[in-house]
Amino acid sequence: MKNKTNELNVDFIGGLGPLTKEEENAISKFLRENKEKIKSKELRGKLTSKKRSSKQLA
Amino acid sequence: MKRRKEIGLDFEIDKLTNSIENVITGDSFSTEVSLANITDLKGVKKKDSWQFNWMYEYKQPERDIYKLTIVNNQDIIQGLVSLEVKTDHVYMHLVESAPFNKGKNKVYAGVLGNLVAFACKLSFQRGHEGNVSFQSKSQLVQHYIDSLDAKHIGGRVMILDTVAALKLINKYFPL
Repeated sequence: MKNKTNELNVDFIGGLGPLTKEEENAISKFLRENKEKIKSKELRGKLTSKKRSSKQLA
Repeated sequence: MKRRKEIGLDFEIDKLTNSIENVITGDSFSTEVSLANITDLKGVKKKDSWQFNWMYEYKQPERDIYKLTIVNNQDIIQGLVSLEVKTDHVYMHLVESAPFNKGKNKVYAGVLGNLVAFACKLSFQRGHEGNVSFQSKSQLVQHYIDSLDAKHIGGRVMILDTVAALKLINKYFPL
């Protein structure tokens, strides 16, 4: 059986020409959405810990 | 009112220390990443088995070319990366290992990973939270997901987000 390797095993990356406008827009959209996701996750975490500490106080 | 002194972030990364490993002996050698100049690239030619035209990359005004070298041996380039700082991330145009670091008979391992981690570090330093994008051939998409924790956002575009960038930086630039 072939072993799955997690080490980067290439001699080069890229060289496929410039990004198209659509690709640039897709990257920006992904980064924006990813940022929002992280923010809401952090917010949810804060709310949960607030809830937990107010429960403990009660 | 007291005028606040403006402190700009107008800096250049000129060195970062890390290491690459000799495949045969297993010895590690400290390395540094620095901006490549035109003299460096005069010896980087297709006839010397480099695959890409690095002089062309160098001539693109929006791109910076960085070289990976062993400490105290700046003349021998182990690998090159062409980076462009965009408005929300760093775009990796091209990364290539030196001809003697390619294939089964490579001399040093870790060159490409090292340079990708450097791109992530540059992205953090330029305020882009480690985000780096690059293009992949379709047959290599899964390999980049497995080895770099990259995200495939469709077509040929891959992204290293903050989490992936931190993993790479911790791996290649441990404290």
